[in-house]
Amino acid sequence: MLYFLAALLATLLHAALVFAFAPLLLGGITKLRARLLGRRGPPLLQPYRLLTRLLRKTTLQPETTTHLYPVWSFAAFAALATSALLVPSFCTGLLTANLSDFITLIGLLALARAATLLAGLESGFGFGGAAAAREALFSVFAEAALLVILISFVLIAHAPTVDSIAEAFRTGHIGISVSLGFALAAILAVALTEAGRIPADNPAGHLELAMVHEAMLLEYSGRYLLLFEYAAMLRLLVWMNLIGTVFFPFGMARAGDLLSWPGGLLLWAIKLTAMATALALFEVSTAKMRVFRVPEFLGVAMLLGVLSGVFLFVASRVGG
Amino acid sequence: MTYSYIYQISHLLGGIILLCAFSLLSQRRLSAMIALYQIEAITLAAAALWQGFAQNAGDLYLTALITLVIKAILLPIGLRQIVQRFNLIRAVETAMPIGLSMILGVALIGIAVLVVLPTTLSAVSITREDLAISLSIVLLGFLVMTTRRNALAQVIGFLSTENGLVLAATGMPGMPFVAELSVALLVLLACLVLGVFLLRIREHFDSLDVSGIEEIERRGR
Amino acid sequence: MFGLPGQGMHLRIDALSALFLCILAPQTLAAAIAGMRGSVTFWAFILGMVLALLAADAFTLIFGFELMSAASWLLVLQGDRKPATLYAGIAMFSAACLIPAVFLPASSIAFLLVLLGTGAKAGLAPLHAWLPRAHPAPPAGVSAVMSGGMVKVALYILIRYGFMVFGAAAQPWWGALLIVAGAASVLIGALRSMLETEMKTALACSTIEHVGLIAVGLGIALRAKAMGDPALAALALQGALLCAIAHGLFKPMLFLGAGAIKQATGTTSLDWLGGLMRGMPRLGALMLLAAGGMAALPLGPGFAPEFLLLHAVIAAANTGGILARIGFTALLAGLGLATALTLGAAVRLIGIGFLGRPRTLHAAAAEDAEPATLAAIALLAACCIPVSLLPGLIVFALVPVIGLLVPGADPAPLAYAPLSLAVILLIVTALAFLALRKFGTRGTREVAAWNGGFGRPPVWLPFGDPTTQPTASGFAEPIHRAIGRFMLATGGADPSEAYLLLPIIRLHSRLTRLAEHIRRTTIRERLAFVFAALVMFLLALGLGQGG
Repeated sequence: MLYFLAALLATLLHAALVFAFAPLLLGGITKLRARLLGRRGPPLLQPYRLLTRLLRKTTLQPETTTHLYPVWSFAAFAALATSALLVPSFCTGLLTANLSDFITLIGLLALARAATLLAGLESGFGFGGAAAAREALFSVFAEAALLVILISFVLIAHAPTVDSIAEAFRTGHIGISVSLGFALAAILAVALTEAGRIPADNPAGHLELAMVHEAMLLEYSGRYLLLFEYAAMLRLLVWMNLIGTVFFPFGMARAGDLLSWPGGLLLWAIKLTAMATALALFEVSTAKMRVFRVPEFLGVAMLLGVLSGVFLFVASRVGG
Repeated sequence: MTYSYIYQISHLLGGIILLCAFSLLSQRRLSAMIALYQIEAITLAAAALWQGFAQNAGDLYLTALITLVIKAILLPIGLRQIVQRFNLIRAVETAMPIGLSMILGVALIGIAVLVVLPTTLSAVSITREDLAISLSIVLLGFLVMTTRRNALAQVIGFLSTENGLVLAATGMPGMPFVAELSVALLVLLACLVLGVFLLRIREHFDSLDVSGIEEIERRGR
Repeated sequence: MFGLPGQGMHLRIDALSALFLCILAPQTLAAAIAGMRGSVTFWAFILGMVLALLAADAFTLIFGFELMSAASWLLVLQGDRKPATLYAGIAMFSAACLIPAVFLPASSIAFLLVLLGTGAKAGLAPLHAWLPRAHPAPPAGVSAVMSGGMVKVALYILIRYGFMVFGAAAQPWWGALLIVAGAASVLIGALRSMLETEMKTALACSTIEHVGLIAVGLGIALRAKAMGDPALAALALQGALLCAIAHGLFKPMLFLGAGAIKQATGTTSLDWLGGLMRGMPRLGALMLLAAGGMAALPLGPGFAPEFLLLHAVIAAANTGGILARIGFTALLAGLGLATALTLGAAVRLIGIGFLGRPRTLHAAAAEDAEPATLAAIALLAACCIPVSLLPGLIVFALVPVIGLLVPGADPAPLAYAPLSLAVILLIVTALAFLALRKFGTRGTREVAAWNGGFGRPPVWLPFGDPTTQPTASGFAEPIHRAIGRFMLATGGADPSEAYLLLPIIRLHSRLTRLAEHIRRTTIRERLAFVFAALVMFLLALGLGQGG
């Protein structure tokens, strides 16, 4: 009973942190990017201002859209908010731990993607359709790569949920492993593509012909655009939480053990800061790829995932 | 725990070299290939250093130094000079699509693992993973050589193969030092020869693209 | 009375037959309600399928199978004459493989014949080229039952022979062969459903993909059973059977919807539709649900089978040597590719057909479907609800079937709980809705679309210029460039057609010419032929005796 109360408290705290700090993460990355380029950059809390500004605006719905226009924004937001609740951030053992099967997570991300694609096709004008076609192309290779990487995780951890993978990686003496190194490189490539960062898509660009994620939302405004923008921030946080939980679970708190929470929270903050810095550094030093180079990029990620499975096989047969 | 730590770090370093060798297959620009080769050489020097520490063999420290100086510093400088002198900064053409060559690369790594696992059952179990990694690097270097049309890119593939052989040599306890020195000098000699050869090709045909030679060979048959 | 003289016709129901009858029943009811109830050929078709499912002896099985083929051939002929010959050819090939197979003892040859026969009928690669040509031809109700029911009957025969009749003699490579065929079907079906611009053809290609998924599940189960791993076999069978159930529900919905669209607008080509959601809101909502099932989205009927199958493949990657590890990893990559392609195909179907602006006047003037069709689709949607929200119960109901196929298995309960997910999704949506209502500006204003700053379209184009819209082929173009060029033959043709069917057709014309040539030989040439045959026999006799 006490454990259930602690888990409930942990889940509520996790939800509050995730929903409150997702815009701050995006603001931090944008500020860091600007600083690295020698500019002052927008204030750290700018995304919050964006969201409150969108709250005040009337929604302008294009005449050529259907009555399902608001549905897509709610669907995308709900799917990404649920995935944010499923992926642990500072502690394992949340109430949603049993639901956090990796394939369910992939399915929820696919639901969000389907809602965004349909939103792009809603108005029936060219930019949304072209962006939706490109997003469909990227998703084909990203999903294949993600599933292949999943094999390594499940075979090492003998469990399919993110929560238990984190537990297994924390307590088992995995050590530095070649196959996990390949898996990390691969999942970073997939995360960059799915979150819409460079090198797959430029989040700061405004050229419609080159946009992918923003072009699907061109015809949205007001409170529905707010839902989409907030969902995008949540998506970035979900991917960072996922990578942090699976690859760096050492020191994560346990829901039942209240004393470990402060350490877990501190570690979570450090992990997010480190990943945000790494992302900003990487974005500043690379250019956005041509659209048809992204499948090659993701193909390399998929093959690295296959290699990680092969070396896991070698390691397990060798006994090392 | 420390025993397995030693092998895990050597496997990690070997894995980084394998990652670079695999990325060589997906590169289109010569400068990127030279940079990857440089990372390979630096990691190889680190691996030799670590093996020297683990096996308590002083000559491996010297090997690491030689690798660092010759392969990580001098050779890339020389290659970059060749690129600049012959104006080779354009993209490298490939003989087969990059995706197909990468899938073949994974298949080669699978073959390497398939070969290594049964044949060395009697040997020390930990060196099997090292041997699998080294054999994979050798095979991937050969694949790079056979799928690039530019002579300098083929040279880089050969050098990557060489890195794999040296990695295997340092991983085996008891490998003589003389062999290492001779192998390194052989590489240097081969590069000098190839450099002269390239100069001649360049003077004759005004470019280093050997796809034209392939055409002539095919038609002549 | 019926049946072979002296033996009669034996019918029997067991758990497997009952399951497939339950898969067949809702689709038959829906197709009958949607307008096929008056057609005698349709009822003969259904009778054939039911006979094949209930058969207890080989004769009844073959009789039911052939009745099903013949009746569906007649229906295809009524719809469109061109694919009828191809369909008849495939039906005859399938019968020619099955009839000897049911009388052979359990062996690899018998299994191969059964696999060829049922695979041809179900649309397993490489014998799938006829399916996208023949399934769109008849009326929508028949297409629905063909895609949803007939392929299931073929798979039922495969399951019964592979697991039960030949069960003891099963070998691991049978399962591996089935996995390879299934994987090829999945990839080519998903790719083609993304690239085809005609709705019914795209849906037929999606049937190929789902048949491939079921085949992959069956293959893993067969291989695991032969290798003595009943737990993995049970998991894979759960996935395959659940996929059969789900596909039998959402595919007929989609086909019936396509039929309704054809009636309302006169075409099913996606490039001539658009904006149908305004004129046909109820059909649109139902098609959206069905497309969600096709795309294997969570909370849809198609997600639980995908979940189980992916877990089965991951578990299978742990068995066997390095080749099996690489093979199953590649299979998983292929399944991921195909899942995303199907999502794109489903999104394209809804996005270009129902959303956006109308591309023709017919699409603009479309009115909602007839109440009968809507009732039929709604019936199937109602049957989808337990499959979507309570898959654990369905998996529990499958336990006797799995016990029949893999004796000794103890299937684990499902780890996917859509009800809890639905609760969380509802809470989050409600919170967002309430927050927006309280803190946000209410109200929506209708304006012209921004469209990158273009002005209003001229008055004579009330929906804007129809050509400034994404087309179906335009949506699929990046994927065609990245994948299609490698997997399809030249000109975008199906590789099975280019490398299997066309050579067979060429061989057939060459043989026909040879036969004509022989028919026109002179008497002298015929004498020479007989004389040469005599000499050959004598030579063979001499060599056999002396040599």
